[in-house]
Amino acid sequence: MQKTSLLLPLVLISLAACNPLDSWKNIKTPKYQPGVAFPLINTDFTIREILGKFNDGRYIDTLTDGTIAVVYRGKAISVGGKDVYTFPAISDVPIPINSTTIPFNSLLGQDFKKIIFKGGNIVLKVNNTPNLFANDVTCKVTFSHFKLNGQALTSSFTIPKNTGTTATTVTQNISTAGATLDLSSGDINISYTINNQNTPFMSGNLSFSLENMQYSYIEGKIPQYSFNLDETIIDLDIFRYWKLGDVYFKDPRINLIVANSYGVPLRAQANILNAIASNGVKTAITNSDYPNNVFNFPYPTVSQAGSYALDTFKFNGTNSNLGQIIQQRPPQVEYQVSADLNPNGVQGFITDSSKFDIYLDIALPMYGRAKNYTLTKDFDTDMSIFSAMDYAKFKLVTENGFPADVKLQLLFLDESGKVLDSLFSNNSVILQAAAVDGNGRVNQANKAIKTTESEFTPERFSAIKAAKKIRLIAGVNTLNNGTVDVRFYTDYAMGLRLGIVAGVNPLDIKK
Amino acid sequence: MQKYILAIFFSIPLFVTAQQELGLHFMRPTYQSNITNPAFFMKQTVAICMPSPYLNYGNSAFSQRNVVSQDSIIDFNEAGSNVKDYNYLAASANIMPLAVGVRIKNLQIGLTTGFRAFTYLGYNKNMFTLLTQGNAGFIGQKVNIAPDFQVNTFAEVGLSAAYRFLDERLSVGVRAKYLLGIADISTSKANKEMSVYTNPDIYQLQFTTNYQVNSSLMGVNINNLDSLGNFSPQFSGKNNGIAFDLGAEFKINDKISVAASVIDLGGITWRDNARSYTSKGTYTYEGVDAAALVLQDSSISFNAISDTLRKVFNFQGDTEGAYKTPLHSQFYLSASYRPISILTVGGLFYGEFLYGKLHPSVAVSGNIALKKWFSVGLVAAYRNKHLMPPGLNFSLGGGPVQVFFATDNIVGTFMPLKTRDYNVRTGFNWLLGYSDK
Repeated sequence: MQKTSLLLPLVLISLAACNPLDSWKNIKTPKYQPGVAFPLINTDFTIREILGKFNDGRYIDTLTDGTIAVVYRGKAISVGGKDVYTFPAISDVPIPINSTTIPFNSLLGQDFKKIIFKGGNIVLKVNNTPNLFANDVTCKVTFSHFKLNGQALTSSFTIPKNTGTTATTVTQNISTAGATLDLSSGDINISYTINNQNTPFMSGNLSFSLENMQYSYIEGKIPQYSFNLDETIIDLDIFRYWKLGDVYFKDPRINLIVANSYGVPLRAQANILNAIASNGVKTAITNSDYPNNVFNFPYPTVSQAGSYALDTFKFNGTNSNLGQIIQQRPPQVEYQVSADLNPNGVQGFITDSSKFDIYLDIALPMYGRAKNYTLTKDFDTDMSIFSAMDYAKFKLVTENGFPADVKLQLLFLDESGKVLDSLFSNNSVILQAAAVDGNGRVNQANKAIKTTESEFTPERFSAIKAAKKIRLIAGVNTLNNGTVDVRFYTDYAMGLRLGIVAGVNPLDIKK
Repeated sequence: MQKYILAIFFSIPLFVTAQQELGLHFMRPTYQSNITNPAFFMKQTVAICMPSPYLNYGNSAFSQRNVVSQDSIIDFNEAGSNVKDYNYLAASANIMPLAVGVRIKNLQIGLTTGFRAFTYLGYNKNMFTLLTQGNAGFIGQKVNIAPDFQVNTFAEVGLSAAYRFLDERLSVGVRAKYLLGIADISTSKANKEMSVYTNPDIYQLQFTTNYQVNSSLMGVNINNLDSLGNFSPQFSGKNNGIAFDLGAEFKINDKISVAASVIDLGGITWRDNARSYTSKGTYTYEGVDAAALVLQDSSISFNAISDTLRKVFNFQGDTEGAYKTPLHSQFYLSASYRPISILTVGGLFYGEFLYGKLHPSVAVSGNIALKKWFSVGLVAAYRNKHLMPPGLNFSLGGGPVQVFFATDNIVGTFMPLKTRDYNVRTGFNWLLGYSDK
């Protein structure tokens, strides 16, 4: 009843206007095209952001004078110390008399001074022949050179009497985890008692083995070892987007940074250190300070065990051909390093976690000049928002805080890469360089501001709706048409704002 | 979807109404004229009014015919040229299921009942221009487009009393009405900003809202239009209010009389599922920060603007609490002159308050009582700055059965597309005990 009451007036209204309601359904809208103005892009980016976000393989550094530098880093890591030397298994070494000295280094074939174990066992074995003992006896064995918490490793165990006709075997394990083996003499001493008496075994009745021995530290003459690291390629994406023009970096550098925790000398050689041009041609990077690209790595002393020794081997315009190579805008640098551990067989140490890392940093300080240096980059785009528009007038406002003219253009490409149109006529819009002060710096409060408008007729606008990609083209000329070296400081920034006034067909807007 | 919104916008006069009844005011042979002034006395002793529907709509700017061509195409330019600084589309539909009036000498008492539905949309020229021409014409300007709107339905029961003094020359009357709200959705008068500023730089958009919508709709959440289907109208008894009609008539002499009345003074307090939805804040869309996208090889999409618009129109702060809506009060100031016994001419100044704005009308009428059982009248009115087509009213039968019809725009009855304002009321009454006084 209540619903009926509510609906009654509405029904009556509808009846009264029956005929007009029919016509309502037939109302058509004309070419209804309000002009809608809204912003498209509003972005500010600093030189640090531009240089810092291309990929993960680089970082931004700031030189002491504030100049920003982009640093590409490649990294190669050696195997760990546990793979350099594997402690061998030692089996059934006889302990013939109550106090026996074993030439342990001779057994290993090494010249070690000290070993710290993190695992493994000394396995004592008694060949319990018939009637070896008339009664059960207690055997106590001591390894005086193996010490755990300052105490010699000792084990007592029972040897039952054997009244049978065949021999039995009695074994006893002694854990070496955490034990330190003192090999300063090269030998180890083993002693035992039977029922607290220095009663000797018959020959061959007592022996020991070392099983699953794992070390955490070895001191002494570390055996030689050869490393052969994987080849590494560094992408210099600052050149990847290069299209044409010239750029000159005044002070490019390569820093070969090593971090070594092996406690013995390492001699490394860069078997491969090449710049790869965009056409694939490789040019060797050479350094007069390091003939044949051989580098002797530093190493920590015994007292510094567990830490890294660091060093940097520098390539610059003075000691290398780097300057000429960078001018060729190589998009990649490849390198491969091999290294010899303890090539001269000196005393030192290794740990199970010893390793060395090699970082190859290619640093390009933003100091130099560019002439018509042009970069391009393509982006996928979604132009669906423009589908209901017939014409457009773009307005670009730029604020250039760089000491360089920037020519900017956006191309609209279809799926096949065919250029449909460009945002700006007359090739591109030129953002004038910001003025520099007496110190050669741009005051960012005085950016060069420019407003450019570009109108798209319905015919032009219709064409770019099919765009699937946008190609950004940026050309750079440093001051005086690229003849003056300029520095780019970290606070340099550029603002870019793009708005649009478009004829919108609201009835065509899809949800 | 947009097409339907536009169609509704331009067609809404066809099924909505406003309140005024100008011709009815002069239809003294019918008891329903008492609706416009409770001091009006009927000629009969008893009147029993059977269900009487009333429909009314008004478009202060244009008629559909003004803006929709013969081939049904909307002409936005024509529509825009008719739009004023403030405009409204209003509609109401009332039905009076039963009314009874009894006159005992100089006292007249009455009972009225009714169901009323009201729809109103008030908008300014900026809103219309923004919708039809976009914001390109408002670059550098902040424009407030907040519309007023109300849709509500309620029932009413009224008791009236009128008394004549001074040898029946002065009569005064009052009607007290108990209002029972069924449903309401309406904008708040206090919070009325929905503005957009288009920055001349690159057309950055700044939306500022301080806009509140109140509702008492069982089962409905405004932020979820799908929930409209859950609407369940009902008389809970919690939505109620009181309203009064006041009137007086003074007969200067046998030929001249003047009358004044105020109708619908009061309002309804909505308590049942009463909620307030507020959009308040400033939202700015400055464009896509393309640096991060460009430098990270991401694709470039410009659809973020829709996210901003969604924030703007996402009403937050759904709070429960009673609110009050006033009825849209009206007043009638009239004078009548009867040069001969069968002819009455009159003048009327009428006003209606919609969302705090006065919408006046003036009208002249001529009513002739050709027979005791048949009178007919014409009314001409000037309303919303335009001269309305003539209105026609008549009553047939002086008792015991009376049929009547009244409209302030007879053209609208036959050609609704040509009208901006239209109303009609019809019905029949049982009348007993005719008196010349």
